[in-house]
This record gives sequence, C-alpha cells and structure tokens, in this order.
Amino acid sequence: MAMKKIIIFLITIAVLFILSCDDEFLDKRPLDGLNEAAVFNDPILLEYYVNEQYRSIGYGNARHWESKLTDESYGDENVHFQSGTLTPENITTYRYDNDPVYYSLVDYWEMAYEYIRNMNLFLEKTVDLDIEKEVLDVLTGEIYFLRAFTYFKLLKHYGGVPNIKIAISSLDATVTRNTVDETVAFILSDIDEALKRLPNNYFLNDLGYGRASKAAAFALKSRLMLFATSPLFKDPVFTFNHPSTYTWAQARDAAKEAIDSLESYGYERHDNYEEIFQNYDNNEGIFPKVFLPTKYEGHRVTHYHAPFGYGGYGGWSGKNCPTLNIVDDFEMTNGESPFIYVNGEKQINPASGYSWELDSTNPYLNRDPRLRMAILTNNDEFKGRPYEPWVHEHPDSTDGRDGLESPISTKIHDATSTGMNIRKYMNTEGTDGLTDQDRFDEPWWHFRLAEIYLNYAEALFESGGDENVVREYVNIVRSRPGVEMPDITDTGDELRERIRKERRIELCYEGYRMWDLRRWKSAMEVENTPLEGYEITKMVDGTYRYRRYNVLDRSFLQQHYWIPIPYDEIVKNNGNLEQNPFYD
Amino acid sequence: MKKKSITRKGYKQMYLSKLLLIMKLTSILLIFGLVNIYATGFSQARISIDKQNVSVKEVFETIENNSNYKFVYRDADFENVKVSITSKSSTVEEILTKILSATNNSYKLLDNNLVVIMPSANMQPGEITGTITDMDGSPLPGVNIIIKGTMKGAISDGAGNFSIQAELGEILQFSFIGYLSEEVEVTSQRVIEISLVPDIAQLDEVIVIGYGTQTKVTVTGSVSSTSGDDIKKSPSSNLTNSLAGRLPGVIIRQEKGELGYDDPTIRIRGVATWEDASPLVIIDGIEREGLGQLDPNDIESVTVLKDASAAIYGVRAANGVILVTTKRGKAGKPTFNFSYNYGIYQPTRIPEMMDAPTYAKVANEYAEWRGRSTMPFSDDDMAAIAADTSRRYANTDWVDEVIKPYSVQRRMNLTSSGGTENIKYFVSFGSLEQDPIFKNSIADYSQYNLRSNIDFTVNKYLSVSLDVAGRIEKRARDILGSTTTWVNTLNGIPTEHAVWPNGEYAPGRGFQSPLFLDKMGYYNREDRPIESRANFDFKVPFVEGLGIDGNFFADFGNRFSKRWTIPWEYTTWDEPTNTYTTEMTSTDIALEEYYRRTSAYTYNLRLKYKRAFNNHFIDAFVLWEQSESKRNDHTLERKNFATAGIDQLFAGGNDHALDWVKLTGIASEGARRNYLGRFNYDYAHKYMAQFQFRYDGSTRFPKEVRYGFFPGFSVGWRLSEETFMQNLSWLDNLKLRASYGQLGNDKILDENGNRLDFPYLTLYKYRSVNEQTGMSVFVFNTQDGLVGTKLIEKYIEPNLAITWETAEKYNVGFDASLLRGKLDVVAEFFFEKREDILTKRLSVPVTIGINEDKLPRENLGKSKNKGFEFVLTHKNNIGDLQYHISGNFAYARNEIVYWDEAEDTPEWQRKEGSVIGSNVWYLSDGIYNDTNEINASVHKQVSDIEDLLGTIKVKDVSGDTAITDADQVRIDQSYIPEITYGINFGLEYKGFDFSMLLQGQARAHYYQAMGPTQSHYILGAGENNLAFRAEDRWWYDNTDGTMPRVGDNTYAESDFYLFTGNFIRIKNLEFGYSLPSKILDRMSISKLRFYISGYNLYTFSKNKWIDPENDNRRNERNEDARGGEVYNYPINRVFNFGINLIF
Repeated sequence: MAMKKIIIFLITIAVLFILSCDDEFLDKRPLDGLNEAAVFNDPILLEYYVNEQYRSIGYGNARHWESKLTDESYGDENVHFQSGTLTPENITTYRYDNDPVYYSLVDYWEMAYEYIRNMNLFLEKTVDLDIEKEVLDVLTGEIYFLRAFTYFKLLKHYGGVPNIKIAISSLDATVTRNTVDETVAFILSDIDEALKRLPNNYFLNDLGYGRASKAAAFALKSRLMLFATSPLFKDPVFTFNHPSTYTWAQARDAAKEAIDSLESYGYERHDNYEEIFQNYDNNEGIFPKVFLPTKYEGHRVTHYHAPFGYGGYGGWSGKNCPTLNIVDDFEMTNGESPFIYVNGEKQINPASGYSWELDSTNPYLNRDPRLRMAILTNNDEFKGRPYEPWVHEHPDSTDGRDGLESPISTKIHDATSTGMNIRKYMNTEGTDGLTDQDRFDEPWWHFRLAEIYLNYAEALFESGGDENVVREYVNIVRSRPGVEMPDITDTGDELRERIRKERRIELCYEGYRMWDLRRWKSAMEVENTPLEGYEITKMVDGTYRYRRYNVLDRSFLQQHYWIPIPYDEIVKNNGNLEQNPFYD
Repeated sequence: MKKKSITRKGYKQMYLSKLLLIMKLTSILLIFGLVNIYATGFSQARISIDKQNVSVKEVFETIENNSNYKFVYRDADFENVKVSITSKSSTVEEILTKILSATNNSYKLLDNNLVVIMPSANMQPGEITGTITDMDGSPLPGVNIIIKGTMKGAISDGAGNFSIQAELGEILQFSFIGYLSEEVEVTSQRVIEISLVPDIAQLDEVIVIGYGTQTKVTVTGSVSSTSGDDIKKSPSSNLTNSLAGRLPGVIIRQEKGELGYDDPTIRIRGVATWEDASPLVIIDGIEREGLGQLDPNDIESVTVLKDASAAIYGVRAANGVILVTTKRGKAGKPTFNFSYNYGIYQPTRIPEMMDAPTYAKVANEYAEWRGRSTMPFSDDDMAAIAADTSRRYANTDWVDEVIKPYSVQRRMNLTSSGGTENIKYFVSFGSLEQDPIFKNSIADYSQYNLRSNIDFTVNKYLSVSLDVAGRIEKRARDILGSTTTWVNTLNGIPTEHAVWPNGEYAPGRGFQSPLFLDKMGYYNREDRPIESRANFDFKVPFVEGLGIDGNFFADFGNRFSKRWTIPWEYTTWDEPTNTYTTEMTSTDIALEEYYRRTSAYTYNLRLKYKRAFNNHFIDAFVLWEQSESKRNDHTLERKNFATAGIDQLFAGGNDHALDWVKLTGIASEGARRNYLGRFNYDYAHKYMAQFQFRYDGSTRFPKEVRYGFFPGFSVGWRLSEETFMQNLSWLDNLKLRASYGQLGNDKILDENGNRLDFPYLTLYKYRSVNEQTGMSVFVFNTQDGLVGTKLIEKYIEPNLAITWETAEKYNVGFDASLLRGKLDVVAEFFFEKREDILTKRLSVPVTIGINEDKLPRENLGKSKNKGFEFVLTHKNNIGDLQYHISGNFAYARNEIVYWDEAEDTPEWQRKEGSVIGSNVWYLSDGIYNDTNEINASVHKQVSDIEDLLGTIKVKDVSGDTAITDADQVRIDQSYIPEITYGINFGLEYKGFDFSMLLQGQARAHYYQAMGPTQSHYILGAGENNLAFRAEDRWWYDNTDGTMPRVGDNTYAESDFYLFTGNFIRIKNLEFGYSLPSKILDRMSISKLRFYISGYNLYTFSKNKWIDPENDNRRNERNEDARGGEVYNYPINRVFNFGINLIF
C-alpha cells in the first residue's frame, strides 16, 4: 500500500474523530420517565396525578381488615396487636406486604405524609397553570377533600398531628405537633375548600362516579366532628392538655347539615341490607372505591376470606374469623340481647329467649337477620353448598369440608378458628373452587347514609337533644326491610348503649369498631376480654354441638388509645415531635 | 580450553546476537499483545536448493532467506569448506543433516528457530567436567545436569562446577529455573564450559494492564494475573467460578449452582462500599458482560488491577478492574487444538430434612401447642409410620424421589491458530451443555462460543485487526423457577406419597411436585451477544517510537425469552376406597414473550510514544474515547389460550380488561466521553515511575459536574539492580513499589438494585399495576363507562448534587525472586479511603413526605478498607520431576466511617466502626427450659408466660429489664469473608501431571433461617423442616432440649441461627497424562493428553448440612436481608474426564 493511501486513511480517521466530538453527545434524556413540567401542564397527566392521590385514604376490604384488630374477628396477624405489646418500636411491623394500602391499617403515619406531600405539591404547582379552570377546579377540590380525609385518618390514629401544608424542600426540616383543635380546624378548612369546588354528588350512572363529591365532603365533616367531640378527644391526658373545644352541638349540626344535603341530592336508605355490600346500584352508599371484576381493577376479598374448602386463599381463609364477641351482641329478633352483664359478668338474658342449651346446639336461631348477612355461620348456604366448618364426631370421618379435619387441608391453620367466616362484602354467587385468578367487584363504601344517621343520633343524644328524634334516627336503620328489628324505646344511659350497639351491628366489618371503642374510651373494658369462638362437632346423629372456647386472650393498655408514632420519627425530629402518652 | 568446540567468547557473541534478535521478535510480538515465545521443532516448511561447490555459509544463507531459521556458527569452522547440495522440496532437517554429516559438524535447534552449528568430535567414554555460568560469567550453582533419557544426573556446585559420567553420543541436558535449558551432545571433548541464557520469556514476561501491556519486572502497581491454561483446569461450567482461589485478593462467591444462572459474586479486596461493589470487567479492551460465559480455551490471561493501576478506568474503577485478554494467532504453522470434557455433577451438599416419623411427631406437637383437641396423626398412624407399615402415609425422601444421582455436562472446543508474518489468526469454536439435577426437569443449558481474532500487517507502518466474537446461550428453565422447585423438594411433606401405589404421581407440595416439572410448560431464554472490534495501529514514519492507534468496538445484545405456562394433571388417591382421581390444575394457559435489544458503540483514538534512550525508557500515550449505549425491552403477554397446543401469541385471548393481553416495554440510553493517558518512565529497569489519569464524563451526572479527574501514581525501585546488592547471589530480583490513586464508582442504583440513569432529574412514571391490591388502578365513570384509569407517581426524588463515590487507594509492596527463581515472594499492603458513598439520610423525618424508599440517596457515606496479600511460590525441578507450590493469602477488613445513623442508636448497634454488611442480632442464651427460668430472666412481654417455654432466651443487653429492639447487638462480621486463601500445587513427571487447588475463606458468617422468618419455616406449621432443626427440640418430653420447640417464632433474628462461614475446600484437582512425543510424532500430533479433574470436590466446614457458600444473601446494599435460607439452588461438585489434542 502506498504511503498516500495510508495518509488518506489517517485523514479519514481524523475526520471521523472530529465529527464525533459534538458537544451534545452527553446530553441524553431519559426515555421512560415523565418530567415534572409535563405532568403539571397536561390536563390528562394532571388527572392521573390526582388519581394517584386517591390511594392516600386506602380502603377497608383489602387482604387485611381492621376487623381483626378489634373484637370483630380473629386472625393470626392480630395476635401481637391485641396482646398489649404494640410499641413505637414495633409499630412499623404492622404494615402488610409492601403496598401502603395494607399498612394503612395501623401504621398510617408514613403513608399519610407521603401523600400529603404530593397533594401539597399539587396545590403549589397548579397556581398558574394554563388548564381549563373548570377542570382544574374540580381536581383541586378533590385534592382538598383527599387531604382532609388523610388528616382525618391521622387524627383518629394519633390525635393532633403536625399540620403540614407545603411541600417541604429542606431535608432537615423537623416538625412539631398541632393540637387536636388545630388539626380539626385545618381539616375543616380543607373540607370548606373542597365544598367550594366539587360537584354535588355522583350516582352510579353519573360521569365521574367514584370520585369525591360534596356529598362525601359533608359525610366526612360529620364523621370528623363526631370524633372531635368524643371522650378521647376531650381527655386532657390524651391531648397534652389541649382537649378539643368542639362541642356535641357542632357535631350534631354537622351531621344534620350532611343529612339535609345528602337527602336533597337524592340519597336514601336502601331497602336491602345485603345488596349494599354486593353492588353499586343503590342510593345509600356515598363514596365508593369502585372495582370491576377484572384483573387489575378487581379485588380478591372473596378469595382471601372464603372458607378454605371453597378454595380460599392458600388455605389461609381462617385469617379473618368472626368472633363470638360480636355474635353475642346481635339481638334476638324480639329486640332483646341474648346476653346481659350483671356486675360485669356475662349472663343469659332470660327475656331474650336465648339459653345455654341453644348456645351449644343452635346458637344462630332467631337472631337479628343482619347476623347471617354479615357472618357466614354453620350450615349456611354459600356458593351453592352448605358451609361446613365442623369436625365429625366419628374419628375416622374426614367430612366437614371447611373444618379442621378436612381432607383438603394440609395445614393446621387452614380452617377457621372460630367456626365462622366473613360474609359481608363476599361474592356469594357461583360455586366453590375459587382460585387466585378470581377478581371481584363488591364495593367499599367510605361512607353510607346509615352511618350519618347514627352519627346524628349519637351527637344529638350527647348534646342533650330530643331523645325521640334520637330514637327515630336509630329506628330508621333498624326498620330497614329485611332487617325489621323492633323499634327501640330506651332512654338515658341505656339509650347511649343502644346507639353504640346499633353502630356495632349495623356498621360491623366496615372499619368503625376499632376507632369507636377508642373514641368512646371503652376499649380498656371491651378490648381486655378474650376473643371467643366455637368448636363445632357434627354428631353421628346429624346434629351439631357448639363449644365455646377462648381463641385469644387479649390485653389493651391505656397507651393504646392512640396509635404510637413510629419511634424513628420521634428521634428524627430531634425531640420536637412528641410521642403519644404512656408510650415511654 | 582448546578442546572446546566453541570459545566462550564466541558463545557469548552468539548469544548476544540471539538476544537482540529475540528482543526484536519480542517487540514485534508485543505489539500484538502476545506474551509467550514458543520453542518449536523444525517446521514442515520445504525448501528446494541447488548449490554446487559453494561455501557452507552460502547454503545457510539460502535457507535463512527461505525459512524462519537463523544459523549461528563460528566462521572458522567452515572456512574454505565447500559443499554441493541438490534437493527438491526437502525439509530443513534433511538439508542440514546432509551438509553437516559431510563436514563433521552437528547442529542443535534452539528457541525461535535458531540453529546452532558446532563440530562433532570423536566419541569416547569418560567423565565430563565443566563450569556453568550465566551470561555475565557469574557461576550458576544448582543447575541440574541430566543425561537425557536416563535417571543419571548431577548438580553444579557453588562455583558452578559439575562433573558427570557420560558416554559418547549421549546428550547432557542443563536445566535451571529462569534459564533456557541447553543440550550438549557428549563428544570427545571432556570439559564443557557453558553459559545459560536467561529465559527471556520469563524475565521479560509481559502482563496486560489497562490500555496496554507492561513487562512484569517494571510493573509498579498491584496487578495479579492468571493464565488461561490455569483457568482451564477447573471444570466449572462458569469461567468466573474457575478464578476462585487463583488470584490473591479476589473473592469469588458462588451462591447458587443453577445451570445457566450460576454467575458468582466477585469482590476485589473485600468491599469498601455498601453500594454496588462489583468490579469493572474489561474483556479485550472494553466493558463487557458475560465473563462467566467465555470459553476458557479462548482465554490468554486474566489480570486484576487492585490499586491505583486501575485509575486509567476512572469513574468505574474503584471496585477494581478485571481484564480479560483472549488469544491471538502467532506466525507459524497452523495449530489445531481440540478438547473435550465430559463431566458429571451433583450438589455439593443437600440439606437433610425431617423423615416421616419425626415429621408426624412434630406436627402433633404443633397441634397440641396450638390447643387443638384432635391431632393430625393418631397414635395408630404414628405407630404405622414408625414401622413403615402405613398405607395412607409414606416415608418419602423427596430429594431421593426428584433429584438425579448425578447430571451431565459436556464441553467441547476446537481452535485453530497460526498465520504468516502478514496475517495471523485465532479462530475458536466451543460448546457447553448441561443437564438439570431434577429427574423430570426440562431445564437445560447450552452455550456456543465463536471467536475470530485476526491481525493483518498491511506494511511496516500499518497493521489492522478485526475481532468478532459471538455467543449463543440457551437456557431452558422449569416454569416454577429453581428456587420454588427446590423449596417444593425440601419442604415436601415426608408422610405424603411422591408416587402413589399405582405408579401415578401424587400432587406434592401445593400440587407442584417436582415430578411434574416437564408438564408445566417452560421458560426458555436465548441470548445472542455479538462483540466486535476493529483496530488500526500506525507507526509514524521517521519518528521512532511514535504511533497512533484506534479502535472501534460494536457490541450487540439480543435476548429473547418465552414463558409458557400450562395446567398439568395430577392424581389423588382415596386410601380407604382405593380410588384414584385425576384432576387438572386451574392454571391459566399463558404465554409471555420478552425481547431485549442492546447496543453499545465505543471508539477511541490514541497517540503513543515508546522509546528507549540509552537507559531511559519512555512509554506514554494519550487517548480519547467515547461510547454510547442503548437498550430497549418489550414484554408481550397473552393469556386465556383455548388450548395448550399452540404456544404462539396469536392464539391467546383478547380481552385487555381481563388481563389476557399485556404489552409493556422500557428503554434507556447512556453515553460516556473520556480523555486518558499514561506516562511511564523507567531508568535501566531500576527506577520506575508511572503516572496515569482519566478525565471521565458520563450522562449519569448533572451537566455541570459531569466530568471527574482520576489520577494514579506509582513508583518502583529494583534494589536488586543496585551494585551494592550484586553480591547477594541468592537474590535474583527485589523490587519495592508504591502507588497512590483516586478512583471512582459510578454505579448508581435505585432502591431495587436497578441502574438509575438520571438520578438528578425529577421523574414521574405511570404506577405499575399491582394485581394484589386493587390499588394501582382507580375505577371512575368516564365517557367510556366504568374504566380503570392510570395513576402517576413520582419515582425519583432527584439529587441535584449527586456524584460518584471517590476512592483513594494506597498500596505498597515488594516482589522478590530468590534462589535462582526457586522462590518468589509477593507481598502487598493496602489502604483505601472511600467517600461519597450513596447513603440514605436516615435523619430525615417522614413528615417531610418522602418515605425512606424514595428519599434521594446522598453522597454522605465514608468507609475505609485495609489489608494485605501474600503470595509465595516455589518452583523446582528434580530430574524429570517439575513441581511448583504456590500459596496466596489475602486479608481485607473494612470499616464504616460515616453512616447517617440515628443519634440515639445504642453503642452496640452502631454501623459506624463496624463492617459493611453486618447486622444486628439478639444474643441468644440457650432455650427456656421451664417457667422458673423464664420468670428469673428478662423476657419478652407475652400474655401467657408458658408461651415462652422452649423458645430462644435472649440477653437483655440494654439493661432496661425488657427485651426490645435495643437488645440487638451488631456483630462485627459479615457474610463477606475477611480472609481468603488458595494453595496451588502442581507437578509434572515425564508425561504425567497433577495439580490441586485448595481454596478457603475465614472470618465470615452466614445466617441460616431454618427457623421462622416466614410462617412456613416455623417448625411444625405444616411444612417440612431441616432435620437439624427438629433434633433435640424442646418439648415436654425433652425439657433439656437445645433447639427451640415447635411453633417458635420469637427471636428468629438472633445469633442462635448464625453460623461460621469458614471453610476450606478442594476446589480443583487434576491428573493428566500426555502421550510421549515419540509415539505422537509419527501421527503428526504434537500433544495428546488425557485427564481427569474435579471441582468443589470436598468441603471442610463446621456445619455439614449446607454448603457455606450456598447462601442467598444478595449484596451489600440490602442491609436488612439476612439471607441464608436453605432454599437456594445448590451449588455443584463436578467430576470430569477430558481429552486434549493438539496437532
């Protein structure tokens, strides 16, 4: 090769070198991420951003329910929670899996503030946006509503919390707690902002169904005020000497305002109790988490909670087993409680017609119809066959598909520990043979009208209002077709107990009980009793024997009226953030 | 002296000229990155010659001109000697024999085609004496003199004198480590004075360093290397595993042995970061993946840069650099090298699980503990199980049922190399096939490697090369995944049948008995990487030593995988009625196809200068390099297939909402631009200094702070070259060296260990759907009816100030060679300071709204790491017996200097001051035997004190009379061994060769959660457990038990479950036999060797029930992962038979 060629070769190399020396070479952009400017300037992306914030409030019919953290259910996971061992150090273990929605159960602190930041950021970034005002207004209203809801949930967990209204930019920022009053006031102002912007309401066929509305905001306000005036929030010891100054009258008015607004929007009692939890086609439910029976849009409640003989989740169906504690509180159809307490001791109420004989042979006879609408009891027809949570008397028999000796079971903990399973929110159609591919669409109601009625009854009673009106609102709930329990006639303290019991029964498994016991300050009494269940034996003659037994001894200590703030958070705030009382 | 055939002076001149020649050849070869100079016999080249009555000299010249041979002779011997020769197409050998027999001379062929001619003399028996010296005339003591083909021999004394009885015509063989062997035929001459030539190949040994090579004697950095020949001795299916124990300071840790997925973790000098601590792997010049999948037959050498010598790789170099160089062709006749290996393998250790009687007893205990009134196994059942007379219950050893006694792996390779001065080639083809360990598994691994490295010399100024390597890796995997299958095996319930009495398979654990593996579908993956390089090298005319070279690298990756899931049939058996029912699992028929395409282009251009001025040697270059890479991934999934008969996407269901169709993809790109250089100065191979740098820029950092400067300095001093050391005859070489460098680590990963391309930008993404929660989609009524909508979440909180980790590395060491090369010592001490390690700032309260997982990690962390390495090598020959033994020992211990730690962290839990990867543990103090013991102790709060019976008792370290998190203590050790060592032993005798590698580690521990990290590890809770766990467990009939009772799930995270990770294992053993060349010559074969070898043959460790390396602890980043489940796919031991043929 001639030297000339080599020179040309080298020149070519040099040219290539020069060509590749462009300055932008290292200015690459991400190929699969959205940058912030895009998100906040595109109405579609902005809506998606708001949709994400709906996660902040969680929902109650996930894999783990709040019912098993109180006396409604027994499940393995609640053992530690109910043993009086909850501490600031171990609170973070009360998260389930890696999805925030699970740990919204108890350890809500971190998740709440994460979403609050997102929402604060929204409110800051959307000030000068070039987006149609009507669209932006509704989205902003939703954000205010969700922030209010998130703060309300914080309030019920922890009392007064740091009111954080901006997206903090310094990583060194520490915070201090606000008083109950301040947090309530902040929530109320967010609710007001939401009310200014949101449409009245959405029913199933309305465009926007599933989103927050004024109806939801009024309902939230009613619930907020009920909590803010309850004994726990009025207790100086539990509020760092800044007890709530809100009054029952304010709670009463908030409930009345909610009822009036809701009724004017067309909300009404739905005349079938069971249906409320099975489909969306009713005007009682106020703000649903909507599901579709599809892979990602559906939930797995029925699969998670069905008896394992039906193909319940990996044989772990016994993880949310209704207790006798709640069953015992369901009245007989005559309106009398099967049990009464004499000097703190549980006794049969002779007036009820219940007896120990019945308790061991046919305990579910003549009970408030809501019992079997909420709880799956022995021999109930479920998904095309009777539910069989028993063990056969004959030692060689392996009958009892849902019981401990079932041949389907390979694990001891497969079967229900209490002889019962959940029915509320369950899909009752089809047959057994559930698989983990199944998806269900039963709704989760964040609010429903019955709650507001009972809120009103309670607030009216406590504010010294007309007991006739109080009873009237309780009776609206009790007289629902298909339930048709006798009207109540109690007065005074007995009326208070009736209202509370009605709340327990009507709203069972809907996520109220745990928090109600706390705000009433009755948890020390109620949550220190053992959880009970039935061991059921099918006798050779075809009858059943029910034996009560203690499923779990429980312990509730006074500090547990509030959920502890995670220990690390106290530390990281350099002493500025105060832990809830009695956790030291 | 007169009798000498050639005067000493003559010899000397001759050797000098030879030396020069060799140096020339060497320098040419060096340019092509070649290391060794091979001695060969006469080539088969044929020469035609027709010379009548010419001087012998002329004949020699003719041959020289027509072949590669050079002749060395004394002019005087051939003065006036005329010969006539006519030959057509004769070999050189034939021609020489003709000429020399006519002139009463004989010849000898030396290395590099040098032919020495000397007069033969009359043949008489008797004693031969003489003196052996080196090139400088200094006497050489200890030289072996042996009469070829006999056992007769002698050794030279301190003055280099020797004496031996020899017959005429016999051949004396002079051999000495570090020198070329010489052979002298016994002639009438009684006194032989001979000077041995240093083995240039050894003294001038060249090793690969970053962007070049360097002679070993002048290396000043901490560089270790091993040759492809050594690596080949380990019959592991994964090349990286074969490096274990061979490179001092390099920790190779194999956590699982699944075929095709057996890449180990590599750590150089321990770790100095809790971020990604993996080294940079450079294969033939650039960063490449697939080290483990290279064909060992293609490897020339593997070098490790452990200190500032890695600075030339800048921001990627802080964790050390591994340089792999593949073989290239050498001028000469074509050589074919064929090898075939047939190996059988099996798990090193299989955990022993409970048998049926134990299992049944444990299950009953558990039921009793839980207060059940009915027991899973009645007394009758128990008796029948114990007597093995039960019909309903079996005593199944699941391992026996589903694991093959051994599995097979086969490796084949054929290479061809050779070439002329102008074109040299190395072409290789290899294959590897591996069978699974499960009986009915469809798993299968096959790998095909193809490589072609070609060098062209265009003219005396320009040469070019073209390398292309391709690989096909086919991995077939069982649909369940290896871990699940292994869990299904070990956790299989021993009282259950694996095979029913009628021969059908029982369902097994979760209906997933490993016996169904071949009925569940498949997960196949095929990778087809192609790596290529074009290079030119130009010597600038008229400026000696100046050159320009450049490379263009183009690498492409293609991955295609296909996951096909189908339902399978299983049979149940109703024992009382003896009826069998066959059912089908409800598994969805689903197909997932994944395609990944990657490309990476790198181009560089270098200006270099290399020249010697008397004793001053300069070797310097500057280089510009840039690279860009792209990646695209697509996943296509379809479900609800009507039939399992068609495994193609078109056949699936259509409904998007029901998740029958899924299409996703990701994409990323990145680029780098660098300026780098090196300046080497060397005075008389006595004083060496080196400076190198890289100015490194990448897209991973914000524009303003994208570039970093990474310098490295090192100096060396060869004391042995100083005159005052010259009289130490036992010391051949002593070099002191020291280095200092600043290096970086830019491997920025997100929380999940995925690479973060743009950590400085605020980025959002659509929330990925999570089918578990229903929370990743919200359903609203829209224009399209009730539909799920998308959610947007932030996925990166930016860190605007992000930068790389910086490492400052110091290294001092010495290399010594003693006793004429019989003993080599290398010792090094190092110290490293690492800063700017990405760390989560733990002090950020979550009220700010960024949870710990999303918190941008900041360059806060600091660590240091120090240690030392020793290598001792002894080589010797005793007659025909050559042996070497070499031990390497490395110690590295790191310390966390700064970690953002909560201020009130108790002293005994602080990370600062402890080692990376350490954890906190409760300190166990035995088992609670009775309630008195519980009452007398500080114990966990429980509602019923009896619950603590038989549980692990832990110490109240904090002294607050309660057991809380504060009682956990940080144990100053991790799963990364602080000490690693290897002992290499080899010997050769006549055709036999033997080698052994022992490899070990110490000061490491591992966590064995045979206990309760998850509910199914709880003893008795319906799964099988380790036999060891159930042995001597506490129970009412064994209240002195030393293991926790059934159902215990307190304090899983205690040191009760912590075991020492120390072990020493026979990593490799090889025994070979090469057929004598006499036999092979006739068949034109240069080498035929048979060998048997083994890998991971035996492990000595305290715990026998699991291989201490077989631990699924992931990496340093995952500080809370304690790992150590028994359920990691076992690692393997291999027994191998091989054959190697060179022709």
